[in-house]
Amino acid sequence: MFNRVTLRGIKNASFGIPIALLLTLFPSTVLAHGFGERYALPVPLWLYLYGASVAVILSFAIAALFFSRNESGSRDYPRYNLLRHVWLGHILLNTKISRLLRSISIFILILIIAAGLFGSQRVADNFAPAFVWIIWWVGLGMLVISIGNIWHLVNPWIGIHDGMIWLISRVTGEQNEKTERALPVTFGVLPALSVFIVFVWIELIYEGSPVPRQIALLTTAYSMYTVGGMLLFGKNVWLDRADAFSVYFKILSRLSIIEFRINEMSYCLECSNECQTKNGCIDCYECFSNCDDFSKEINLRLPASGLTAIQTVQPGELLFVLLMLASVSFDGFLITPLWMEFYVGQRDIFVENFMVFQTLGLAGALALFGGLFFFFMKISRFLSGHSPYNNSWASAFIYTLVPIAAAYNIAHYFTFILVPGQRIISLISDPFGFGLNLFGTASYQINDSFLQASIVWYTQVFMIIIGHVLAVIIAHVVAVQILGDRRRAMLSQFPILVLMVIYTISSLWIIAQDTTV
Amino acid sequence: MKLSSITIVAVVIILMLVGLFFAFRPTTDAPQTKTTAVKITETGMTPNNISYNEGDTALLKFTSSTDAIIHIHGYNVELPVSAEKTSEIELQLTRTGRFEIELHHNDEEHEHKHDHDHTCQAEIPVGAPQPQIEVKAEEAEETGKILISVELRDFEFTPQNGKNPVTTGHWHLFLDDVATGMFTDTEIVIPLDQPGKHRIKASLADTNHCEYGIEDETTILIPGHAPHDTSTTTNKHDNTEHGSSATTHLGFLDVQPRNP
Repeated sequence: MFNRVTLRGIKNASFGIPIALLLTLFPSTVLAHGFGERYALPVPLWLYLYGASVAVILSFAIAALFFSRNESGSRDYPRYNLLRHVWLGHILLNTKISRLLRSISIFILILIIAAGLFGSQRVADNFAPAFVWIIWWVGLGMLVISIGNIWHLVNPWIGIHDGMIWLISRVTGEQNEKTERALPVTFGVLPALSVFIVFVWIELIYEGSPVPRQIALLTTAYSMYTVGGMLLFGKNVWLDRADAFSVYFKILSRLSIIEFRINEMSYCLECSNECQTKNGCIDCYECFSNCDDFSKEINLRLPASGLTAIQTVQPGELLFVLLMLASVSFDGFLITPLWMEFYVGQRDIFVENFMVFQTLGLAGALALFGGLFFFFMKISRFLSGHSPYNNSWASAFIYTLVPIAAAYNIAHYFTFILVPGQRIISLISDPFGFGLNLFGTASYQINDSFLQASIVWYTQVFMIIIGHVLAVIIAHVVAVQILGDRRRAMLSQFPILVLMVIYTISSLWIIAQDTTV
Repeated sequence: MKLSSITIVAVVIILMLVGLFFAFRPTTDAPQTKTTAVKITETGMTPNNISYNEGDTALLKFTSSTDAIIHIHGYNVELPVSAEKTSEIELQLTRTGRFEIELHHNDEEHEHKHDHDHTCQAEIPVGAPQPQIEVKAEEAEETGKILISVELRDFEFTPQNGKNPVTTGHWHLFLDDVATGMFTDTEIVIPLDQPGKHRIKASLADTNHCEYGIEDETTILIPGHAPHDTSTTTNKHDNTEHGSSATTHLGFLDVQPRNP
């Protein structure tokens, strides 16, 4: 299935090439051409217009609601501690369970590399592309958004690192896992951001991304980077600031309904300051594993409420979140007729360098989303009466974009996990494509008859609206917390509201396009 | 504002949104039967999007400049098309969505799918040499029929009482990847008058119809209709190779929900 696309076709084609033909020549995204049998029927114009109207109406309704409330801003959000129940605590804090989960992950990691290197190189027959792109990248992302940071629990590289530390201490007899080397604090999450940029480029643009062998090689390289980095610079420092996926999933998990919190500030002082809030430290996995059980909370909270906790934003985090938003939108935009027509116009320049063209497009998308963000933030800060907030104004609001990015992510990919994702059922029986049938599921055929077009439409539009509403609410809560003054907070929110309406309508516009994927 | 007035505002907004929804939502006509004439070329089809509403009956009439098979995904239709005559198909459109229409030049995808359908794998007896099969196809003397001949090495149709172990069984014939029969002859004549290029595959199987994975294939052109293909028969021995132009994307069949 993969990449039977050649640019020679475009080069030799006449200028009046019909769009339909162009579509077949375009290397669309990895998620599409690796597995994509399913094409979504574009959302009709009327539903697009309806969705856009709903977004605008609800934005102002929320603004009005906030204006009418008299509560002070610095209230912590409601939460329910699961550790109140002793038996739940035994399960949730059980290190054996987390060790087991990570062992399973390590096994899957090895399977991915082995299948990629030695298995069939047909994308559809190999476990590696389906697992990495569908189950892990898209599927785990959705689980993290809705439940909690499962990635930290199952991260195989943590397991490998811990195993190596254990081995080293057995061999040398030393218990010391502290390292002298340090990652300069001024770097912030810039190492993770750099890796994330490369990853996004591979996902969206690199034509070899679904190829099993490439996946195996990249996975091996990334494993060495992560485990090596943890050994050299210390586990948590590396995870928090250099491991792109730990940073990515942690950002998404702020939307989720489960948080790990320490309510005893003295423990929090030991960990890095970006996870500290006024009410304890949230999702600091390092402190959480070091502190005593009485100070631990594993809380249920309302979806997205975690985004209202104001935390220090590290250098690079702003761009990281903007890239999350821009990349998923660009992935949708790549396959719109508009982008194709644009390419036709530039064809003579980029004929041999389609990936260069796409790369410029991605950079353009980031510049556009970022530019809009900073522009509206400037107006917002001006209207807030130049808030004395010591961190930068834009940083304080960057996390309000996470619901929009996550909602579009789900809208864009949920059919992908439901339909091509079924491929994993047959692949677990035959991960290498050798014709094995380990669990008797090798001949499973993908069933997509349950997904009627209207279900897809309404889910997509509903998700985007929900993301928009959450984003608007969170931005208001954050503004009230920072400014403490409702009138100024209200004023500062109008530019942000306009910004969010623009983002949301562009998401809706993309799903209403006559795309091929 | 008290709680009650917040509730009133919320109710008003919800009513507004629901009202807007029904104002925006279009109504669709009653189900109908519509005919669409589709012209197929090597690279595309006109119109490239066939659009219907759920519940409609589509009568699709295809004319083509080449001999090929078109595949409509979702409805799992495979229809041979040719330059000679119009191919017609009637579809009851019950599933909504966007379904790809593809042109198969040859049937790699299907061959592959077929490989996976095998639930058993026959094994060559210990010590027996690896059997081989070669298949040839030509037009038979009688019009409308073709002659398929296979050449076998180290393979017997019935167990002989020889000293050396040998692989036994029969061969399966696949015509355009459709299992057409099992044979214990080296020459057979079958009817085939559909103009165009056809794929003929012979695969060795044991008495339980489990295949050994030893196969050969060839193509035959029922003449006069495929201007781009000069040779009438081409042998293809390597089944693992993936051609780069096995299928061409033609366009889509869009089935819109009737009352979304």
